[in-house]
Amino acid sequence: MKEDFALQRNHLSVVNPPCSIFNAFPKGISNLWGHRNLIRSFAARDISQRYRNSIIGYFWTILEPLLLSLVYYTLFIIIAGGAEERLPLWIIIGVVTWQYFSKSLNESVNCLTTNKNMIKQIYFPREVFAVSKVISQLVVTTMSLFVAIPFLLYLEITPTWQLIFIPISLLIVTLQVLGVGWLLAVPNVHHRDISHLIRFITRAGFFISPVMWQIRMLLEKDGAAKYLDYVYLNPMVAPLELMRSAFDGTEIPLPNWAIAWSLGFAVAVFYIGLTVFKKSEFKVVKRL
Amino acid sequence: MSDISLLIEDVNLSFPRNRIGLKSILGWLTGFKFKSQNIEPFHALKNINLTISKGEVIGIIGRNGASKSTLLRVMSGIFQPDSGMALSSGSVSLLSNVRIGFNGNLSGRENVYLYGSILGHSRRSMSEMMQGIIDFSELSDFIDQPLRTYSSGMQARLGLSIASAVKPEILLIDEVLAVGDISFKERSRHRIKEMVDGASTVVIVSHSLNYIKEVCNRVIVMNQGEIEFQGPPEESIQFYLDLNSRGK
Repeated sequence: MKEDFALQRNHLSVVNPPCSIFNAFPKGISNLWGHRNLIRSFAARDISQRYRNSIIGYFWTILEPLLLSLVYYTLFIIIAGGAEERLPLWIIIGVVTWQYFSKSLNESVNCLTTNKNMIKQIYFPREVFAVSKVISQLVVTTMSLFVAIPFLLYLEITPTWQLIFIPISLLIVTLQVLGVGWLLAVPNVHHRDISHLIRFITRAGFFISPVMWQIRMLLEKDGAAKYLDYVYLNPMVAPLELMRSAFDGTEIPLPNWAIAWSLGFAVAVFYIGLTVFKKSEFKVVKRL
Repeated sequence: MSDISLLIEDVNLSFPRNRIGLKSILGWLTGFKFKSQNIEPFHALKNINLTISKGEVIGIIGRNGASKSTLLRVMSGIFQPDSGMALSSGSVSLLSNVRIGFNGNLSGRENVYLYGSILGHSRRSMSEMMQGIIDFSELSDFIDQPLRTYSSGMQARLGLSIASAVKPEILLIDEVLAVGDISFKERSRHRIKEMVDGASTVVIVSHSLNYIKEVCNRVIVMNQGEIEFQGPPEESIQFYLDLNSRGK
Protein backbone atom coordinates (compact mmCIF):
# COMPACT_ATOMS: atom_id res chain seq x y z
CA MET A 1 0.00 0.00 0.00
CA LYS A 2 2.76 2.36 1.02
CA GLU A 3 4.86 1.47 -2.03
CA ASP A 4 1.83 1.95 -4.22
CA PHE A 5 1.39 5.45 -2.82
CA ALA A 6 5.06 6.31 -3.38
CA LEU A 7 4.78 5.08 -6.96
CA GLN A 8 1.73 7.23 -7.58
CA ARG A 9 3.39 10.21 -5.98
CA ASN A 10 6.21 9.99 -8.50
CA HIS A 11 3.73 10.69 -11.27
CA LEU A 12 2.75 14.02 -9.78
CA SER A 13 4.54 17.27 -10.34
CA VAL A 14 4.90 20.16 -7.93
CA VAL A 15 2.53 23.05 -8.65
CA ASN A 16 4.74 25.96 -9.72
CA PRO A 17 7.98 24.80 -8.12
CA PRO A 18 10.40 27.47 -6.95
CA CYS A 19 13.29 27.99 -9.33
CA SER A 20 16.99 28.09 -8.56
CA ILE A 21 19.12 31.10 -9.34
CA PHE A 22 20.44 29.40 -12.47
CA ASN A 23 17.24 28.17 -14.04
CA ALA A 24 15.26 31.33 -13.19
CA PHE A 25 16.23 33.12 -16.39
CA PRO A 26 15.67 30.24 -18.88
CA LYS A 27 12.41 29.43 -17.11
CA GLY A 28 11.26 33.04 -17.38
CA ILE A 29 12.07 33.13 -21.08
CA SER A 30 10.31 29.84 -21.79
CA ASN A 31 7.29 31.04 -19.80
CA LEU A 32 7.14 34.18 -21.93
CA TRP A 33 7.36 32.16 -25.13
CA GLY A 34 4.72 29.72 -23.90
CA HIS A 35 2.37 32.59 -23.08
CA ARG A 36 2.92 34.62 -26.23
CA ASN A 37 -0.81 34.47 -27.00
CA LEU A 38 -1.57 35.98 -23.64
CA ILE A 39 1.03 38.71 -24.12
CA ARG A 40 -0.50 39.52 -27.49
CA SER A 41 -4.03 39.78 -26.10
CA PHE A 42 -2.91 41.87 -23.12
CA ALA A 43 -0.99 44.24 -25.37
CA ALA A 44 -3.85 44.52 -27.86
CA ARG A 45 -6.30 45.17 -25.04
CA ASP A 46 -3.99 47.81 -23.61
CA ILE A 47 -3.68 49.68 -26.90
CA SER A 48 -7.35 49.54 -27.78
CA GLN A 49 -8.29 50.76 -24.30
CA ARG A 50 -5.91 53.67 -24.38
CA TYR A 51 -7.60 55.29 -27.34
CA ARG A 52 -11.16 54.18 -26.59
CA ASN A 53 -13.84 56.89 -26.62
CA SER A 54 -11.60 59.45 -28.27
CA ILE A 55 -12.55 61.20 -31.48
CA ILE A 56 -9.19 61.11 -33.22
CA GLY A 57 -8.17 57.77 -31.67
CA TYR A 58 -4.81 56.45 -32.83
CA PHE A 59 -3.91 59.85 -34.30
CA TRP A 60 -3.01 60.77 -30.70
CA THR A 61 0.09 58.58 -30.99
CA ILE A 62 1.42 61.12 -33.49
CA LEU A 63 -0.20 64.27 -32.17
CA GLU A 64 1.10 63.93 -28.61
CA PRO A 65 4.83 63.82 -29.44
CA LEU A 66 4.27 66.45 -32.13
CA LEU A 67 2.73 68.94 -29.71
CA LEU A 68 5.30 68.19 -27.02
CA SER A 69 8.13 68.71 -29.48
CA LEU A 70 6.60 71.98 -30.59
CA VAL A 71 6.70 73.22 -27.01
CA TYR A 72 10.31 72.10 -26.51
CA TYR A 73 11.35 73.55 -29.86
CA THR A 74 9.84 76.93 -29.05
CA LEU A 75 11.51 76.86 -25.65
CA PHE A 76 14.83 76.01 -27.25
CA ILE A 77 14.55 78.83 -29.80
CA ILE A 78 13.73 81.30 -27.02
CA ILE A 79 16.69 80.20 -24.89
CA ALA A 80 19.29 79.55 -27.57
CA GLY A 81 18.33 82.25 -30.03
CA GLY A 82 18.53 80.45 -33.35
CA ALA A 83 18.71 76.81 -34.24
CA GLU A 84 19.73 74.44 -36.98
CA GLU A 85 17.25 73.49 -39.64
CA ARG A 86 17.18 69.86 -38.53
CA LEU A 87 16.55 70.60 -34.86
CA PRO A 88 12.76 69.95 -35.00
CA LEU A 89 13.44 66.48 -36.44
CA TRP A 90 16.04 65.73 -33.77
CA ILE A 91 13.80 66.87 -30.99
CA ILE A 92 10.81 64.91 -32.16
CA ILE A 93 12.81 61.69 -32.54
CA GLY A 94 14.35 62.26 -29.11
CA VAL A 95 10.95 62.89 -27.53
CA VAL A 96 9.38 59.75 -29.05
CA THR A 97 12.31 57.57 -27.95
CA TRP A 98 12.37 59.08 -24.48
CA GLN A 99 8.61 58.68 -24.05
CA TYR A 100 8.97 55.00 -24.88
CA PHE A 101 11.66 54.66 -22.24
CA SER A 102 9.92 56.64 -19.54
CA LYS A 103 6.37 55.32 -19.98
CA SER A 104 7.33 51.68 -20.27
CA LEU A 105 9.76 51.90 -17.35
CA ASN A 106 7.12 53.41 -15.09
CA GLU A 107 4.58 50.82 -16.15
CA SER A 108 6.88 47.86 -15.72
CA VAL A 109 8.03 48.98 -12.26
CA ASN A 110 4.37 49.08 -11.25
CA CYS A 111 3.42 45.84 -13.00
CA LEU A 112 2.76 43.91 -9.78
CA THR A 113 0.95 46.64 -7.88
CA THR A 114 -1.43 47.61 -10.69
CA ASN A 115 -2.38 44.00 -11.42
CA LYS A 116 -2.69 42.83 -7.84
CA ASN A 117 -6.32 41.77 -8.17
CA MET A 118 -5.58 39.54 -11.10
CA ILE A 119 -2.44 38.14 -9.50
CA LYS A 120 -4.36 37.05 -6.43
CA GLN A 121 -7.17 35.42 -8.41
CA ILE A 122 -5.51 33.40 -11.11
CA TYR A 123 -2.06 32.02 -11.73
CA PHE A 124 -0.01 32.59 -14.82
CA PRO A 125 3.63 33.69 -15.07
CA ARG A 126 3.76 37.23 -13.72
CA GLU A 127 6.62 38.30 -15.97
CA VAL A 128 3.92 38.54 -18.65
CA PHE A 129 2.56 41.81 -17.22
CA ALA A 130 5.69 43.89 -17.75
CA VAL A 131 6.34 42.42 -21.18
CA SER A 132 2.82 43.06 -22.46
CA LYS A 133 2.92 46.66 -21.20
CA VAL A 134 6.28 47.28 -22.83
CA ILE A 135 5.17 45.70 -26.09
CA SER A 136 2.06 47.86 -26.22
CA GLN A 137 4.27 50.91 -25.69
CA LEU A 138 6.59 49.62 -28.40
CA VAL A 139 3.71 49.43 -30.88
CA VAL A 140 2.61 52.96 -29.98
CA THR A 141 6.20 54.19 -30.34
CA THR A 142 6.54 52.59 -33.76
CA MET A 143 3.36 54.35 -34.86
CA SER A 144 4.65 57.62 -33.42
CA LEU A 145 7.89 57.35 -35.37
CA PHE A 146 5.93 57.86 -38.59
CA VAL A 147 5.68 61.49 -37.53
CA ALA A 148 9.26 61.84 -38.78
CA ILE A 149 8.28 61.20 -42.41
CA PRO A 150 6.92 64.69 -43.24
CA PHE A 151 10.06 66.20 -41.66
CA LEU A 152 12.29 63.95 -43.75
CA LEU A 153 10.41 64.99 -46.89
CA TYR A 154 10.59 68.67 -46.01
CA LEU A 155 14.31 68.52 -45.19
CA GLU A 156 14.92 66.38 -48.31
CA ILE A 157 16.72 63.67 -46.36
CA THR A 158 16.95 60.30 -48.08
CA PRO A 159 17.05 57.36 -45.70
CA THR A 160 20.25 55.30 -45.73
CA TRP A 161 21.22 51.81 -44.58
CA GLN A 162 21.51 53.37 -41.15
CA LEU A 163 17.76 52.81 -40.71
CA ILE A 164 18.93 49.49 -39.23
CA PHE A 165 19.81 51.50 -36.09
CA ILE A 166 16.08 51.98 -35.35
CA PRO A 167 15.44 48.37 -34.25
CA ILE A 168 18.83 48.27 -32.48
CA SER A 169 17.99 51.38 -30.51
CA LEU A 170 14.52 50.10 -29.65
CA LEU A 171 16.00 46.75 -28.58
CA ILE A 172 18.44 48.42 -26.21
CA VAL A 173 15.66 50.48 -24.62
CA THR A 174 13.36 47.46 -24.39
CA LEU A 175 15.94 45.28 -22.62
CA GLN A 176 16.76 48.15 -20.25
CA VAL A 177 13.20 48.94 -19.21
CA LEU A 178 12.26 45.28 -18.79
CA GLY A 179 15.38 44.53 -16.75
CA VAL A 180 15.11 47.56 -14.49
CA GLY A 181 11.33 47.12 -14.29
CA TRP A 182 11.57 43.50 -13.13
CA LEU A 183 14.38 44.33 -10.76
CA LEU A 184 12.36 47.04 -9.03
CA ALA A 185 8.82 45.63 -9.33
CA VAL A 186 9.24 43.41 -6.26
CA PRO A 187 10.75 46.03 -3.91
CA ASN A 188 8.09 48.41 -5.20
CA VAL A 189 5.44 46.19 -3.60
CA HIS A 190 7.12 46.71 -0.21
CA HIS A 191 7.76 50.39 -0.72
CA ARG A 192 5.95 52.54 -3.23
CA ASP A 193 8.81 55.01 -2.76
CA ILE A 194 10.46 53.15 -5.63
CA SER A 195 7.79 54.12 -8.14
CA HIS A 196 7.90 57.76 -6.99
CA LEU A 197 11.67 57.70 -7.34
CA ILE A 198 11.49 56.21 -10.83
CA ARG A 199 8.95 58.83 -11.87
CA PHE A 200 11.38 61.50 -10.69
CA ILE A 201 14.33 59.87 -12.43
CA THR A 202 12.50 59.62 -15.75
CA ARG A 203 11.53 63.29 -15.49
CA ALA A 204 14.98 64.52 -14.50
CA GLY A 205 16.61 62.13 -16.94
CA PHE A 206 14.80 63.90 -19.75
CA PHE A 207 17.03 66.92 -19.22
CA ILE A 208 20.33 65.18 -18.58
CA SER A 209 19.90 62.87 -21.57
CA PRO A 210 20.28 64.14 -25.13
CA VAL A 211 16.55 64.52 -25.84
CA MET A 212 16.23 68.26 -26.41
CA TRP A 213 19.94 68.60 -27.09
CA GLN A 214 22.50 66.43 -28.85
CA ILE A 215 25.95 65.08 -28.06
CA ARG A 216 27.13 67.07 -31.08
CA MET A 217 26.37 70.31 -29.24
CA LEU A 218 28.59 69.18 -26.35
CA LEU A 219 31.38 68.21 -28.73
CA GLU A 220 31.33 71.68 -30.29
CA LYS A 221 31.30 73.46 -26.94
CA ASP A 222 34.62 74.44 -25.39
CA GLY A 223 35.35 72.93 -21.99
CA ALA A 224 32.55 70.38 -22.19
CA ALA A 225 34.74 67.57 -23.48
CA LYS A 226 36.03 66.60 -20.04
CA TYR A 227 32.50 65.76 -18.91
CA LEU A 228 31.77 63.63 -21.96
CA ASP A 229 32.95 60.36 -20.42
CA TYR A 230 30.43 60.82 -17.63
CA VAL A 231 27.68 61.70 -20.06
CA TYR A 232 28.32 58.46 -21.96
CA LEU A 233 27.77 56.47 -18.77
CA ASN A 234 24.08 57.29 -19.08
CA PRO A 235 22.81 54.13 -20.83
CA MET A 236 20.10 56.09 -22.65
CA VAL A 237 22.62 58.25 -24.57
CA ALA A 238 23.42 55.56 -27.12
CA PRO A 239 19.83 54.63 -28.07
CA LEU A 240 18.87 58.29 -28.44
CA GLU A 241 21.83 59.12 -30.67
CA LEU A 242 21.47 55.88 -32.63
CA MET A 243 17.87 56.75 -33.37
CA ARG A 244 18.80 60.21 -34.67
CA SER A 245 21.57 58.88 -36.89
CA ALA A 246 19.19 56.25 -38.21
CA PHE A 247 16.82 58.90 -39.51
CA ASP A 248 19.11 61.61 -40.82
CA GLY A 249 21.96 59.35 -41.99
CA THR A 250 24.71 61.25 -40.16
CA GLU A 251 27.60 59.58 -38.41
CA ILE A 252 27.02 58.43 -34.84
CA PRO A 253 28.75 61.00 -32.61
CA LEU A 254 29.70 58.40 -29.99
CA PRO A 255 32.81 56.33 -29.31
CA ASN A 256 32.28 52.60 -29.80
CA TRP A 257 32.74 51.86 -26.13
CA ALA A 258 29.74 54.05 -25.26
CA ILE A 259 27.50 51.99 -27.54
CA ALA A 260 28.98 48.73 -26.24
CA TRP A 261 28.45 49.92 -22.67
CA SER A 262 24.80 50.72 -23.32
CA LEU A 263 24.16 47.38 -25.04
CA GLY A 264 26.10 45.49 -22.37
CA PHE A 265 24.20 47.26 -19.61
CA ALA A 266 20.91 46.41 -21.29
CA VAL A 267 21.72 42.71 -21.64
CA ALA A 268 23.11 42.44 -18.11
CA VAL A 269 20.21 44.24 -16.44
CA PHE A 270 17.73 42.15 -18.47
CA TYR A 271 19.33 38.94 -17.24
CA ILE A 272 19.67 40.07 -13.63
CA GLY A 273 16.21 41.64 -13.58
CA LEU A 274 14.41 38.52 -14.76
CA THR A 275 16.42 36.28 -12.42
CA VAL A 276 15.69 38.44 -9.37
CA PHE A 277 12.03 38.75 -10.36
CA LYS A 278 11.56 34.99 -10.76
CA LYS A 279 13.32 34.32 -7.47
CA SER A 280 11.34 36.78 -5.39
CA GLU A 281 7.87 37.15 -6.96
CA PHE A 282 6.27 34.41 -4.87
CA LYS A 283 7.31 35.93 -1.57
CA VAL A 284 5.82 39.22 -2.53
CA VAL A 285 2.40 37.93 -3.61
CA LYS A 286 1.49 37.56 0.06
CA ARG A 287 2.06 41.27 0.58
CA LEU A 288 -0.08 42.45 -2.31
CA MET B 1 -0.88 5.87 -14.23
CA SER B 2 -1.70 7.62 -11.02
CA ASP B 3 -5.10 7.79 -9.40
CA ILE B 4 -4.14 10.77 -7.32
CA SER B 5 -4.81 14.12 -8.90
CA LEU B 6 -3.90 16.49 -6.08
CA LEU B 7 -1.65 15.92 -3.13
CA ILE B 8 -1.15 18.49 -0.39
CA GLU B 9 1.69 17.59 1.94
CA ASP B 10 2.32 19.33 5.28
CA VAL B 11 1.51 22.71 3.84
CA ASN B 12 2.06 25.73 6.06
CA LEU B 13 1.44 29.25 4.94
CA SER B 14 1.60 32.45 6.91
CA PHE B 15 1.09 36.06 5.96
CA PRO B 16 3.48 38.65 7.34
CA ARG B 17 1.72 41.40 9.23
CA ASN B 18 4.57 43.79 9.77
CA ARG B 19 5.80 46.01 7.02
CA ILE B 20 9.41 46.14 5.99
CA GLY B 21 10.02 49.79 6.75
CA LEU B 22 12.68 52.12 8.03
CA LYS B 23 12.51 50.50 11.46
CA SER B 24 13.10 47.00 10.14
CA ILE B 25 16.04 48.19 8.08
CA LEU B 26 17.45 50.02 11.11
CA GLY B 27 16.79 46.97 13.28
CA TRP B 28 18.54 44.74 10.80
CA LEU B 29 21.54 47.05 10.73
CA THR B 30 21.84 47.65 14.48
CA GLY B 31 20.36 44.48 15.90
CA PHE B 32 17.87 46.54 17.94
CA LYS B 33 14.34 45.19 18.12
CA PHE B 34 11.63 47.80 17.79
CA LYS B 35 8.36 47.12 19.57
CA SER B 36 6.25 47.39 16.44
CA GLN B 37 8.38 44.80 14.68
CA ASN B 38 7.32 41.98 16.98
CA ILE B 39 3.97 41.33 15.33
CA GLU B 40 3.40 37.62 14.83
CA PRO B 41 2.61 36.64 11.24
CA PHE B 42 -0.89 35.35 10.54
CA HIS B 43 -0.84 31.57 10.16
CA ALA B 44 -3.33 30.96 7.41
CA LEU B 45 -2.70 27.26 6.78
CA LYS B 46 -1.40 24.92 9.45
CA ASN B 47 -0.09 21.49 8.52
CA ILE B 48 -2.58 20.75 5.78
CA ASN B 49 -2.47 17.20 4.43
CA LEU B 50 -4.90 16.19 1.74
CA THR B 51 -5.07 13.55 -0.97
CA ILE B 52 -7.61 13.99 -3.75
CA SER B 53 -8.19 11.21 -6.28
CA LYS B 54 -9.25 11.47 -9.88
CA GLY B 55 -12.99 11.72 -10.40
CA GLU B 56 -13.71 13.12 -6.96
CA VAL B 57 -15.82 16.20 -6.29
CA ILE B 58 -14.54 17.76 -3.10
CA GLY B 59 -16.43 20.39 -1.19
CA ILE B 60 -14.70 22.71 1.26
CA ILE B 61 -16.83 24.42 3.87
CA GLY B 62 -15.99 26.54 6.86
CA ARG B 63 -16.60 29.94 8.40
CA ASN B 64 -15.39 33.19 6.93
CA GLY B 65 -11.65 33.49 7.38
CA ALA B 66 -11.13 29.74 7.74
CA SER B 67 -8.58 29.94 4.86
CA LYS B 68 -10.69 28.00 2.36
CA SER B 69 -9.82 30.31 -0.53
CA THR B 70 -6.17 30.43 0.54
CA LEU B 71 -6.04 26.64 0.28
CA LEU B 72 -7.43 26.81 -3.27
CA ARG B 73 -4.80 29.41 -4.10
CA VAL B 74 -2.05 27.12 -2.87
CA MET B 75 -3.51 24.34 -5.03
CA SER B 76 -3.55 26.58 -8.10
CA GLY B 77 -0.03 27.89 -7.55
CA ILE B 78 -0.83 31.51 -6.70
CA PHE B 79 0.77 31.13 -3.27
CA GLN B 80 3.84 29.03 -2.71
CA PRO B 81 3.64 27.32 0.69
CA ASP B 82 6.22 28.29 3.33
CA SER B 83 6.86 24.63 3.95
CA GLY B 84 5.44 21.44 2.48
CA MET B 85 4.27 21.22 -1.09
CA ALA B 86 1.34 20.95 -3.43
CA LEU B 87 1.57 18.33 -6.18
CA SER B 88 -0.80 17.78 -9.06
CA SER B 89 -1.20 15.35 -11.93
CA GLY B 90 -2.01 17.97 -14.55
CA SER B 91 -3.37 21.39 -15.37
CA VAL B 92 -5.08 23.21 -12.53
CA SER B 93 -7.50 26.00 -13.23
CA LEU B 94 -9.06 28.25 -10.61
CA LEU B 95 -12.37 29.99 -11.14
CA SER B 96 -12.77 32.64 -8.51
CA ASN B 97 -14.53 35.97 -8.32
CA VAL B 98 -15.36 35.81 -12.02
CA ARG B 99 -15.19 39.54 -12.44
CA ILE B 100 -11.40 39.47 -12.20
CA GLY B 101 -9.55 38.48 -15.33
CA PHE B 102 -12.55 39.65 -17.24
CA ASN B 103 -12.50 43.06 -18.74
CA GLY B 104 -15.64 45.18 -18.52
CA ASN B 105 -15.10 47.18 -21.66
CA LEU B 106 -14.52 44.22 -23.95
CA SER B 107 -17.39 42.18 -25.33
CA GLY B 108 -18.25 38.78 -23.93
CA ARG B 109 -16.71 37.15 -26.99
CA GLU B 110 -13.43 39.07 -26.61
CA ASN B 111 -13.38 38.10 -22.96
CA VAL B 112 -13.63 34.44 -23.92
CA TYR B 113 -10.46 34.87 -25.96
CA LEU B 114 -8.76 36.82 -23.18
CA TYR B 115 -9.70 34.36 -20.46
CA GLY B 116 -8.76 31.49 -22.74
CA SER B 117 -5.32 32.94 -23.30
CA ILE B 118 -4.86 33.38 -19.54
CA LEU B 119 -5.59 29.66 -19.23
CA GLY B 120 -3.02 29.03 -21.95
CA HIS B 121 -5.19 28.41 -25.02
CA SER B 122 -4.67 29.90 -28.44
CA ARG B 123 -7.22 32.04 -30.23
CA ARG B 124 -7.88 29.27 -32.71
CA SER B 125 -8.67 26.64 -30.12
CA MET B 126 -10.94 29.13 -28.32
CA SER B 127 -12.75 29.83 -31.61
CA GLU B 128 -13.47 26.13 -31.92
CA MET B 129 -14.93 26.06 -28.42
CA MET B 130 -16.79 29.36 -28.82
CA GLN B 131 -20.16 27.97 -29.89
CA GLY B 132 -20.19 25.45 -27.06
CA ILE B 133 -19.34 28.17 -24.55
CA ILE B 134 -22.08 30.46 -25.83
CA ASP B 135 -24.64 27.67 -25.83
CA PHE B 136 -23.83 26.49 -22.33
CA SER B 137 -23.87 29.99 -20.88
CA GLU B 138 -27.10 30.84 -22.79
CA LEU B 139 -25.69 34.26 -23.60
CA SER B 140 -26.07 34.25 -27.39
CA ASP B 141 -28.03 37.53 -27.32
CA PHE B 142 -25.42 39.26 -25.20
CA ILE B 143 -22.11 37.77 -26.29
CA ASP B 144 -21.14 40.80 -28.38
CA GLN B 145 -22.15 43.33 -25.72
CA PRO B 146 -19.56 44.82 -23.35
CA LEU B 147 -19.14 42.71 -20.25
CA ARG B 148 -19.93 45.61 -17.93
CA THR B 149 -23.57 45.36 -19.03
CA TYR B 150 -23.79 41.77 -17.74
CA SER B 151 -25.32 40.91 -14.39
CA SER B 152 -23.15 39.05 -11.89
CA GLY B 153 -25.03 35.84 -12.58
CA MET B 154 -24.40 36.19 -16.31
CA GLN B 155 -20.70 36.72 -15.65
CA ALA B 156 -20.60 33.62 -13.48
CA ARG B 157 -22.30 31.66 -16.26
CA LEU B 158 -19.72 32.81 -18.78
CA GLY B 159 -16.87 32.08 -16.33
CA LEU B 160 -17.93 28.51 -15.63
CA SER B 161 -18.63 27.91 -19.33
CA ILE B 162 -15.10 28.86 -20.30
CA ALA B 163 -13.34 27.23 -17.34
CA SER B 164 -15.10 23.93 -17.95
CA ALA B 165 -14.89 24.08 -21.76
CA VAL B 166 -11.10 24.10 -21.71
CA LYS B 167 -11.22 20.78 -19.82
CA PRO B 168 -8.64 21.27 -17.07
CA GLU B 169 -7.69 18.14 -15.18
CA ILE B 170 -8.41 19.88 -11.92
CA LEU B 171 -11.01 22.61 -11.66
CA LEU B 172 -11.15 24.71 -8.51
CA ILE B 173 -14.31 26.74 -8.01
CA ASP B 174 -14.34 29.45 -5.38
CA GLU B 175 -17.87 30.54 -4.42
CA VAL B 176 -18.93 31.37 -7.96
CA LEU B 177 -21.98 29.23 -8.54
CA ALA B 178 -24.00 30.80 -5.75
CA VAL B 179 -25.04 33.73 -7.93
CA GLY B 180 -26.50 31.55 -10.70
CA ASP B 181 -30.25 30.96 -11.03
CA ILE B 182 -31.91 27.57 -10.52
CA SER B 183 -31.65 26.45 -14.12
CA PHE B 184 -27.97 27.36 -14.26
CA LYS B 185 -27.26 25.56 -11.02
CA GLU B 186 -28.88 22.50 -12.54
CA ARG B 187 -26.78 22.74 -15.68
CA SER B 188 -23.59 23.43 -13.74
CA ARG B 189 -24.24 20.28 -11.74
CA HIS B 190 -24.49 18.32 -15.00
CA ARG B 191 -21.35 19.93 -16.32
CA ILE B 192 -19.41 19.06 -13.15
CA LYS B 193 -20.66 15.47 -13.39
CA GLU B 194 -19.51 15.30 -17.01
CA MET B 195 -16.09 16.55 -16.03
CA VAL B 196 -15.77 14.09 -13.20
CA ASP B 197 -16.85 11.24 -15.46
CA GLY B 198 -14.09 12.30 -17.83
CA ALA B 199 -11.59 11.73 -14.97
CA SER B 200 -11.32 15.37 -14.02
CA THR B 201 -11.33 16.48 -10.42
CA VAL B 202 -13.40 19.33 -9.05
CA VAL B 203 -12.91 21.20 -5.78
CA ILE B 204 -15.68 23.57 -4.72
CA VAL B 205 -15.60 26.14 -1.95
CA SER B 206 -19.09 27.23 -1.08
CA HIS B 207 -21.37 28.40 1.69
CA SER B 208 -24.42 26.90 0.09
CA LEU B 209 -24.58 23.64 2.01
CA ASN B 210 -27.42 22.17 -0.04
CA TYR B 211 -25.46 22.52 -3.23
CA ILE B 212 -22.41 20.96 -1.60
CA LYS B 213 -24.52 18.08 -0.33
CA GLU B 214 -25.93 17.39 -3.79
CA VAL B 215 -22.74 17.68 -5.82
CA CYS B 216 -19.80 16.55 -3.71
CA ASN B 217 -18.77 13.07 -2.70
CA ARG B 218 -16.37 14.21 0.02
CA VAL B 219 -16.55 17.34 2.10
CA ILE B 220 -13.80 18.99 4.10
CA VAL B 221 -14.51 21.23 7.07
CA MET B 222 -11.92 23.91 7.68
CA ASN B 223 -11.59 25.99 10.79
CA GLN B 224 -8.89 28.55 11.60
CA GLY B 225 -6.49 27.26 8.97
CA GLU B 226 -6.81 23.59 9.83
CA ILE B 227 -8.76 20.67 8.43
CA GLU B 228 -11.07 19.74 11.30
CA PHE B 229 -13.03 17.00 9.62
CA GLN B 230 -13.42 15.23 6.31
CA GLY B 231 -15.90 12.62 5.22
CA PRO B 232 -19.16 12.04 3.39
CA PRO B 233 -21.22 15.21 2.81
CA GLU B 234 -23.94 14.54 5.41
CA GLU B 235 -21.49 13.83 8.21
CA SER B 236 -19.27 16.77 7.36
CA ILE B 237 -22.15 19.20 7.15
CA GLN B 238 -23.46 17.94 10.48
CA PHE B 239 -20.00 18.42 11.97
CA TYR B 240 -19.88 21.95 10.57
CA LEU B 241 -23.31 22.80 11.97
CA ASP B 242 -22.31 21.43 15.39
CA LEU B 243 -19.10 23.42 15.22
CA ASN B 244 -21.10 26.55 14.57
CA SER B 245 -23.59 25.93 17.34
CA ARG B 246 -20.69 25.48 19.76
CA GLY B 247 -19.71 28.94 18.59
CA LYS B 248 -16.15 27.97 17.77
